[in-house]
Amino acid sequence: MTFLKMSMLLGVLAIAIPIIIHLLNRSRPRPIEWGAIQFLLASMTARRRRVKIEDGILLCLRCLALAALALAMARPFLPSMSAVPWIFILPGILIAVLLASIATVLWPNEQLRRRLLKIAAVMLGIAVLATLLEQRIQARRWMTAAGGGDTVIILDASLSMTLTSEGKSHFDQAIEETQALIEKSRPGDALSLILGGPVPQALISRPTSDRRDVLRALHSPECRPTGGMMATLEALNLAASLLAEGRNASKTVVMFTDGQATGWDAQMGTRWNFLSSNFKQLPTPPRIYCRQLPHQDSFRNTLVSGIRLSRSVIGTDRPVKIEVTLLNSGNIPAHPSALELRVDGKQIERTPLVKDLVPQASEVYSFNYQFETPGYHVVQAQITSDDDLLADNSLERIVHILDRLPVLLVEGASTERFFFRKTASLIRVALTPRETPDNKSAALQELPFLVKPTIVEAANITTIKDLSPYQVIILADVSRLPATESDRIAAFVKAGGGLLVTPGARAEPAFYNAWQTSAGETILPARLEERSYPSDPLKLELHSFTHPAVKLIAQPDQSDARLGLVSGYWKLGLDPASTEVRIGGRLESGAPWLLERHLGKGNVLMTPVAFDRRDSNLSSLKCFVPLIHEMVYFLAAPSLQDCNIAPGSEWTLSGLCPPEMGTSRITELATVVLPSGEERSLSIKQDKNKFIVRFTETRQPGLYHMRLPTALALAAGAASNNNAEVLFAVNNQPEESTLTFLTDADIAAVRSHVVLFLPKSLDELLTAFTGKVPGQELWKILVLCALLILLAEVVLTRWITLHRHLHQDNSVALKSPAESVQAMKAKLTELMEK
Amino acid sequence: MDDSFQTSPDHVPPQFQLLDPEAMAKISRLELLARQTVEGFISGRHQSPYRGYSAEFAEHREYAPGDDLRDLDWQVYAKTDRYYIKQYIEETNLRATILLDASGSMAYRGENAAKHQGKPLSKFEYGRFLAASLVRLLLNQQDAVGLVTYDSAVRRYIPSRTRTNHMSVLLEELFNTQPGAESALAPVFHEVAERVHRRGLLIIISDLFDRPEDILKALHHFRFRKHEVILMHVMADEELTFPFQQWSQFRDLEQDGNHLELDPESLRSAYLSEVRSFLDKIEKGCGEMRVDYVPFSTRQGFDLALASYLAHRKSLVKR
Repeated sequence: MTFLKMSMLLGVLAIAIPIIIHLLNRSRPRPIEWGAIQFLLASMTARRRRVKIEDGILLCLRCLALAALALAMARPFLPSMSAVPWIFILPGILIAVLLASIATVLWPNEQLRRRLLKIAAVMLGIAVLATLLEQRIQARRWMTAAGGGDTVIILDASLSMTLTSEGKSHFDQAIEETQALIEKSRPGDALSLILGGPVPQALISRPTSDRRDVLRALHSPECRPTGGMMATLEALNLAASLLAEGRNASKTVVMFTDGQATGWDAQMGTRWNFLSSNFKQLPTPPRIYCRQLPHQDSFRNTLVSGIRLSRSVIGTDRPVKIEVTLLNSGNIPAHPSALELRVDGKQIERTPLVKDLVPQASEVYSFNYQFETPGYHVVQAQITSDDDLLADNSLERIVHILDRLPVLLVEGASTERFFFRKTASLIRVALTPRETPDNKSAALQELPFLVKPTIVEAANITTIKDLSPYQVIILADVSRLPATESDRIAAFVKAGGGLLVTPGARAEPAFYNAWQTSAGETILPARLEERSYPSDPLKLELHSFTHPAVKLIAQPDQSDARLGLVSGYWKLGLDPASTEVRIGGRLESGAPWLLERHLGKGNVLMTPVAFDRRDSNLSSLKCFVPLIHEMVYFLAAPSLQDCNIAPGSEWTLSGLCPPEMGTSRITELATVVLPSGEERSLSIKQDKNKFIVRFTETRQPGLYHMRLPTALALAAGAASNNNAEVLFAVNNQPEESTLTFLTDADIAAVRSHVVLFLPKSLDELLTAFTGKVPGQELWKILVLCALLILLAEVVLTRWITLHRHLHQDNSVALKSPAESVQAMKAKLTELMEK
Repeated sequence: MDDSFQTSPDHVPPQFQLLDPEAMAKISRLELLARQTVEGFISGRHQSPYRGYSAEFAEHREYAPGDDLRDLDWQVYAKTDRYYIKQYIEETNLRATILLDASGSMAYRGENAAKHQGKPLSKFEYGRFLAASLVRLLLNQQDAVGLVTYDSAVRRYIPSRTRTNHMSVLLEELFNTQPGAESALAPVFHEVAERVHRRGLLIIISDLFDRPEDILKALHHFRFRKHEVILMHVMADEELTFPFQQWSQFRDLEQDGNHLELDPESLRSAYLSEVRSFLDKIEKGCGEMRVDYVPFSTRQGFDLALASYLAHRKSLVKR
């Protein structure tokens, strides 16, 4: 802390007045020749100590009152970012005064008096030095270049900024305060403006001294809450790059935010280090003024925090379970009235909600729905709730419904005579039950199966020229493959395809164990070591079935997998160092039964058994059908387009060019319609028989429509009745709906990397921005203190007076017969007359 | 105080200035009254068994230095060539001895005291006037009066006599005495009690600044010796009111260099409470051993105070 009128500090010397009066009083006592010393001595033994203490307190109070008044007149000032704790200064001076008064009271005790005065002098010295130091530090800290500075204003445009407080949204208030700041800027100041959403956007990308430009940008339609959270670090990094373009030496970043902790990543030291190193490259490291707008304490909010579908691969063949999660992110109980599920805008179901949600509680509601057409569909869940934050009451998810899922089954046992020894055939039956040779009923023929299996004999695999239309390849009891084919399959997996390997008795370990990609990566999760035929068939250890592909059949109440028996299997050799392999289930002997390896973009699944009857009875169980389906879905998932992305991430759409296009180049453009209604045109890139569209402007949460040439759209999975549109959604982060504010620890963590100042009010911000020291004056408190001390002095004086005279006469009356002279005279006259 | 004394004429010998005419006039108007009063408080109404001076001869006694030459029996001297003193049966009942405190503390001269010659009286001066008045009063009544002046020890002891010229001896002694050293009343009283053999009236004039227990013990000694005791307690007004306000240095009148610096305001109540308890102890002790306790404040003119005491005394006797 400092003093605005240092000269007035000399007023503290006024404490000399009571001290001198005290000392003068004592130094020149009035001499009185006195006889009744014995009574004085007797009374002093009882009173002297008490009187001394009372007098001492009175003197201290008088000195303190004067000192407090003098300090108040010196206008003490507590800077917002005080470098020297005020405890060293204000209390230091007051304690020094106190010690001086005590020393005066104890004047006759020379040793103690000197010691006290020394301490008082030291404390006073420390206080003065600390004040001077603070003044110097503050002047340096808040000094701005005379000409002007570069300032980047960051407006928090996150979802929570739409919250209203006193009839005004936080964002509107931020706009108002920004305007005030712009108006306060000096002519030499260069300003730029960043809209801080999930992806920061520079509204003014070059610092400009023209205030009109900045104001125009501030009031432009672009400058509005984007939703999502504010990625603070990205915004600051962008600010650093904008500041680098400015010519002024002094750099400042001003942020207007509600102080929501989400998006700050305050505890991620490395990211802040990166920012700090960016800042260090500027001529002077910028100061960050973060104006936290005041917020309400009570927050009522329910949101749809998630929509989850039970499968990632969905067709029109069977219903899918849609789970909608509701969360009360506020701090008071909420009671949303209804939950509505819509698909492509059409209401599917409306569930009235009766239960109250306590703060931070979540509730999951399930719906079953069978999509009727393939293509891109919008699943929207919306709650009807009267809460503070309306934007998160609805959540949209894009679901890509597949028309068909092509699977290539490579049959290694084609020479077997018996059907039950042909693994590929058994698998095909599991995938499409209608195509069994014995069953050709019309009803089954009509069933719309998603998976389209194609069986090819291992020896004929070379006839399949192109593997790319397939999403999953299953090697069923294949002994070995030609080297060219094994390389093609390896490349297929690396590009995102799925591979299921079920080696049977005929499998050649030499081939499988040596199977590698061109880069030398092993394909299979484990080595085939030797065949094992246990005397007693082994059961499946269902408790160990943790892999998503086998979780479904591991449920004992729904599946008959417990009856599964394995009578012949491959003992597998695992590489313990490998991190890409996981065991998804085991046999009761502990031997692995399902293994997964992640390879490139795709996955490889492997079982140590072929699914024919010689190795196990699984193919005769009911659970075989879901087991094969789940495995295929799991393997197909990576090749599917992800239509729900986080803000700021790149959206990539790729597909096979339709064969009718031949080798002609694509000249048309793709168009993306943003949630705000704006359109962006994109070029479509071509890579051999593939086309790729990349879109990066995904900072705005919401639904995006991408229009492509019809042939390409169809190839990308769009339905023909869907305007040849591909949909994708940029999702809000549910964390943004939970109002957690920056803690002191967060701020301390941030301050260890950058110079951060948190003004408590707009005035304080403007003071700091204009190069003055922000802070608050303390003179009122001191005047109040002085008055209180004076009051205490008056009360104490009064009390002492009362106490000293309480129940005491002012003199001792002698019981003399001559008490009344007149009465006595009268009596005497009377007596004499007698 | 309108009862201040007027200056005495110049031709009066200095010691007789103690008998201020106006003051004495006040008391002399009371003389008759006083006589009656004195008769009232004599120790017994019966004839005294002790020998004294009177018209009725009792016996001869050998001369001793200090005896009045007028008492010599010249006839016996003519016959026997020896000095004999004629002794008579004592006529008066009263042998009074005045014990005047001349200790340092008696020198205190408060601003509020009654004035004599425009100057406030010290306690000692006040006491001296009291003593002189009593001497005059008692001698006028043909009573024997003696005088003891003392501080820490007996300074001067003048046995009681009735002779009229005894007055000048006593007054001279009173006039020449000045307050001096530390007071130690109790030992002095014990000594006096031993020295005054004949029982009689003891009039103690003092500020009694000593431990009250010791004083009361000494008074008890007097009473044990069958003396009648009147304790005239002289206090200055300031000692009773402690009116001082500013920081002061109280210098002990009895011991040089002994002083106290203090704030009188803060100490007043405690001081007054000490004084009150002291007075209460003395008064209570006196009451218990039938010592007539008469407090005087120097604020009150001694003549009037004395007269009123005598009047009071009479009224008591009459009852």
